[in-house]
Amino acid sequence: MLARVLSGGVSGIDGYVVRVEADVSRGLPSFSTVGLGDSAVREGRDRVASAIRNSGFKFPMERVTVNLAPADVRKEGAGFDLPIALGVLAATGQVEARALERVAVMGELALDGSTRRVRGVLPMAVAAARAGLTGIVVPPANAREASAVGRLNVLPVASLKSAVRVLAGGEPDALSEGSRSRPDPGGRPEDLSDVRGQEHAKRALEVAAAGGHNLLMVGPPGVGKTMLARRMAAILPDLTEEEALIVTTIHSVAGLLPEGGGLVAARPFRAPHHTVSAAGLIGGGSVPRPGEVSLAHKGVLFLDELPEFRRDALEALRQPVEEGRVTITRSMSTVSFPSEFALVASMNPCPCGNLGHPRVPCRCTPPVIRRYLSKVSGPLLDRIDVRVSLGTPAFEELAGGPARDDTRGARERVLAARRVQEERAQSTDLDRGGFAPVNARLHVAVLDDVVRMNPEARSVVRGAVRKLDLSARSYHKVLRVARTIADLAGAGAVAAEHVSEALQYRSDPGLSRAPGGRPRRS
Amino acid sequence: MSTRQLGELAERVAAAFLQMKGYAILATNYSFHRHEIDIIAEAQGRIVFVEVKCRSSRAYGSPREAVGREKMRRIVHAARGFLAERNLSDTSSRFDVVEVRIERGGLSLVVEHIVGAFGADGRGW
Repeated sequence: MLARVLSGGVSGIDGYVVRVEADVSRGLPSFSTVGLGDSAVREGRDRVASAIRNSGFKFPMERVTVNLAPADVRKEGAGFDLPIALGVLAATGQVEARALERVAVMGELALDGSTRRVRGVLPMAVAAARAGLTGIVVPPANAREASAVGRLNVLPVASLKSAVRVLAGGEPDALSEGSRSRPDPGGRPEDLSDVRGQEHAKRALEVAAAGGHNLLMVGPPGVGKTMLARRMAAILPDLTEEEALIVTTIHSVAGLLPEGGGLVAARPFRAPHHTVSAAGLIGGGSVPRPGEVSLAHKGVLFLDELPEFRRDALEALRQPVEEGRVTITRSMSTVSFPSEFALVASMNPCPCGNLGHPRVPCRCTPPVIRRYLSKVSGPLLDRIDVRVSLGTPAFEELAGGPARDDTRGARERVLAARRVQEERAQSTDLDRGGFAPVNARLHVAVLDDVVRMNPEARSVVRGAVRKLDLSARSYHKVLRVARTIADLAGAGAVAAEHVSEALQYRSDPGLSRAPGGRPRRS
Repeated sequence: MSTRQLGELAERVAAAFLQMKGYAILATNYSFHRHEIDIIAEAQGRIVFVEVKCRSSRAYGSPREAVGREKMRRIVHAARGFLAERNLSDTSSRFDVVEVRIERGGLSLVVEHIVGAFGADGRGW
């Protein structure tokens, strides 16, 4: 007898419906799976057979053939265990086959028949809803994730036995308890005022957050670069529901959702170690999985000690930074992951960290410094609009008064500036390619329209272009940053002071100071 | 008693045991392309291919452990031959192992019947 169970697979971050067909026919007893499954799928046969027996059902002593359709797409993972088991049970009349017509089923099986969570349930649930299915049977740990789709009736099942019971119309199992949120770190959330002094850098952080600009902080060790970066996500606006859905999808595919977790609420903050490989950063694997740039989508990607990163990893960053999307081609498939993140990078001015310090001498020789700085390639640096130098704070700043709530104020200013940008984006009906409406993504075509400068500002820019030898791209970047600064100030026209501040972030501080080296073109 | 005689004795014991359980013996020592099946029986419309294993001592492990992957493959091959020869390919079938253990120094025989011991794909069932 033939039975059909619907399940799902994931390609990139898009789900698709997989039809699991189980045929039980007379002949020599055997159990085979066809349909381009990976080794986890093929090994699933032994899990399925044991789970069926240990759940008190009969595994047929017949020829069992399972087909996963469409047969030309590679299927991976253990998530087909549960649909295959139900297919075998339906084909042998141990489950009512009609109950399986309009639901999608996914889950890994343990040998005792209990279910285990699987990756990528959210995109598969989306695909199921799109295909017109009405319900989804998942392990309890995946249930909240599946409920994010809304249109599906989510049926959590803790075991094969309860799956059979639920399909016969019984009560579903309880949701697994959502993972307890992390223990509160001392009650008070991280605040910008935790970083003493560095008002200049905080301002730069605010500008970067307001306009979606990338940020580079240069300064000696211990002045607060890492602390500032960690506080960036908190001054960004909340994720919209649409954004939360896509962020959750990416994390679901990567298997990073907390046990029993639902939609991701907070903007991601990813800080990969500097030994990360190019594949780890942009994504990879024979069936490509999202890398750090995609895990940081709609959030912050923090690269601490930028020159320490592998050269090929940094070069690989160029496409995702520029396009907000990364394309990975493998022999079997080409997939594309979104990667629209705020890049925040930090570095020392030289290997010893003391270059430019007013009192402590730098012990690095010029060639050493040049080699250090040259690790960060010009093209990558060129894509960072806001660069800021951090110095060692004075004692008065360190010992400064009580902790304040700087984050709230910064966040309110950022939100206001973002609202201005949103309204402006709605009035110019340019296709933004799905990007957030931020100044950093302003198209060159509308730049002159949007960045209206007063005569004074215009003359400042004219002088800068001549004196600093700005490239066309750099010029446009300065305009975008100037727009953001004006938006933060609530100004309609861009004034000289806005342009000057933008130029200051451009003509970066520490990097051109390498002794003996040619000053970098910016 | 030689090993060969012991094997033949075990096969007779196994056949008698299966008949007691209501199986009809269709063939013994069936061979196809030099692959041999000890007993072929039929029960409830199902063809049962039986491998008989005999041990006089536990020292070499239990008899069922002596049916390895290669042995399974040979049995399955012969079974396909048998089913094709008799036009039975559409009939349900099964692979069993009957183990005959000689215990207490030859004073007692213990027969154990493992129903559905393995599948045609050479994996445990």
